[in-house]
Amino acid sequence: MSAMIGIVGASGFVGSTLCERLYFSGNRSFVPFVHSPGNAWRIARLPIRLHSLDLLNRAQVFEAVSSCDVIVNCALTGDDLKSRGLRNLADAARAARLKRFVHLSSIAIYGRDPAPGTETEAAVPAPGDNPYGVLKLDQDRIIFELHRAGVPCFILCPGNIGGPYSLFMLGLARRLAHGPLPLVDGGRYPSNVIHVDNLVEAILAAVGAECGAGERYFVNETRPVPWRQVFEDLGRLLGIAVSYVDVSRDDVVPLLRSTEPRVGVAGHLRIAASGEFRAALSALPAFRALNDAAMGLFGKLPARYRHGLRERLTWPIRVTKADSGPSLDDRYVTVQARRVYHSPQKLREGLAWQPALGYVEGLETTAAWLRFAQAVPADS
Amino acid sequence: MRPLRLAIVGCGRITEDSHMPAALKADGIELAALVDPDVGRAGVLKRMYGCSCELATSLDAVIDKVDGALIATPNHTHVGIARVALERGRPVLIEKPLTPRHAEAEELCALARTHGAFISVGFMTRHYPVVGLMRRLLEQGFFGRVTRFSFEYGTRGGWAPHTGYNLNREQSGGGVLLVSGTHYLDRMLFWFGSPRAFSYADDSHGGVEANCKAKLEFDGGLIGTLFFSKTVVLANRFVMETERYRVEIPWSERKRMTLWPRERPGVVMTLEDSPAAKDEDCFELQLEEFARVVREGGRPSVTGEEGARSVKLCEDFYGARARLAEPWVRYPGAAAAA
Repeated sequence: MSAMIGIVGASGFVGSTLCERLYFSGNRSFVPFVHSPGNAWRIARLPIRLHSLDLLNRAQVFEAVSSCDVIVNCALTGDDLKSRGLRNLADAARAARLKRFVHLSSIAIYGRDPAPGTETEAAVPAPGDNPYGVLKLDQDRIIFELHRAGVPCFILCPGNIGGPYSLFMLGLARRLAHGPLPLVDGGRYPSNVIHVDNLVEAILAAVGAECGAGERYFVNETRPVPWRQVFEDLGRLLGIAVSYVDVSRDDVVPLLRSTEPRVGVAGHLRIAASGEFRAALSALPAFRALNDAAMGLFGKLPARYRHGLRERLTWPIRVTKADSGPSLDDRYVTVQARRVYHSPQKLREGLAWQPALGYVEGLETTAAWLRFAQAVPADS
Repeated sequence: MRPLRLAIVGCGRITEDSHMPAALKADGIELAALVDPDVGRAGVLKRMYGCSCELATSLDAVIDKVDGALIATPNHTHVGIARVALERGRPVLIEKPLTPRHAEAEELCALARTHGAFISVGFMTRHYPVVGLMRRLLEQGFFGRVTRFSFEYGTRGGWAPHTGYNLNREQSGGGVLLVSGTHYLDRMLFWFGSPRAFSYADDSHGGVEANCKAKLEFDGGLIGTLFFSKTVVLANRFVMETERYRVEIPWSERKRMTLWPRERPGVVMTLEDSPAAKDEDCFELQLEEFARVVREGGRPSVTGEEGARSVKLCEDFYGARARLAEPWVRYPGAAAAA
């Protein structure tokens, strides 16, 4: 009898594809764990039992994992809370002495602008100030700990995931149809988009691997595909007349850094004195009285002081012209600035991974789904 | 005037979010009892809304103390619970779909007639003013000959009842067609009557369908198409092509329809009732109507017979089901499994 595979995050994009892949190939030895039935429609089409699982409920996680030989963790990564869920999952995996644990990480652990030399997994991850990459790297550490504790673990690092049901590709199709797309350095950098069916084959290769545990593996197309080719091919398949605006990578690189603006002391004072902030706080009766008293005192100040304070707190008033050109601060622009192709050679050689679909066939399946999903209006 | 003493049966999400606040606000309604097999859950709602109603684990326990019941439980339980009320001559407001099977719907309608009660079906969007306006304009021939219409409604997942029954075919009776589509089927039947022919396809592989499409033909050459999805976001609107106009009503629009006159290119018109209808909670309107029909007689906006008609259409669809093409599926063995 084959190993019982527990799929955590089974209602998500990758988890659902994995469930379908197993089901259609006749494998019934899997347990889909879902967080909410509201998102599980895709796999509810199959005559399989869905199991509810809240990763933050430690007792529930231990019970769920005890019925499995292998766990494939496709659960969404969003915040520190999710890492707590992963910790529960890892502890349960250790207690159950699982045969395998396959975890989905991301090439984001190398940051948004990795340096040349990160083509292979031998490079040391450095997510920089990319919060998603930082979180994924923290989670990788939990998985490596689990491996050291005796559960063979495999960490798979895909880039952007394409294929049917891909929100990334849905957004890309809509972006291409929307108008001229800024093309970074002629669109020559590698796209690092992996078709979800090929990612699922990588998961299954890890599940069945005899060796190679305790390692990280890039999951990518078998040859680099430049962005321009992806845009052109997808546009052709969807009947979109793709147009571009040429931009230099140098103009995009500053946008790859964390965009959280710094707010200094003066900025905080400005916010505290703003009408919106005071109006919101005035929902508290005590603050309302305080605010009224402060406003009363302010009104009694000589006019030149009042004007001076107002000027310091609210000036300059920033008015900008509406930008008529396409924005560079767009996911489908910044993603083009990544210069490195993260090679799946180790995955092929170490885990005998064979992609299910070539690039062309993969894009055709994506386009077929995008047409079904009415991604592009008929008149575009 | 004594208010109608109402029992709400089923304390899941729709009751928590919509029926409870509506029952507490509605004129002519007194919430007398909350019923749920999990009485703890009923207690939670009672405390949440600070009510003084009775709690019970079954409708039998309170049916003699109430004047009517609102049934908001998993679809497969509607028939058994409604029987309890109707056999004692109590009217029922039943969440859509009336029942998963047409024979059960017919049984309930007959039971209501025998015992002098009535059934109202919770297609709450029927209380949208634009739905009534459309029906009147169609009857008056305002649009000229209607040639085509389409209903599209799609979300990525969405509504998640506490019990998760909607993903269980045995309990729900179906998938997206029953969960989302029946609202549109009800409107379609209300506006255009029953189709004389149809084709239907969905993507169930033995579980509930997440996507379905239908093409319908009506007398007079009218063609309709339906597309409902729980995996892709669609335009979520009704579109109608007529001799004089292109007409559009977004799903969430309650009052207005937008018209593009064929003879005036570049002109867009908006139609609504005059005086403009108030923006009222349709769950509340539905309950107030229920109380009014009990008090004064008459018929509810959606009768049991109308509810049964949409159940029949769903059943006919499922009976004539074809497999929806999924040309993007290339897994090993997928073709054989299909």
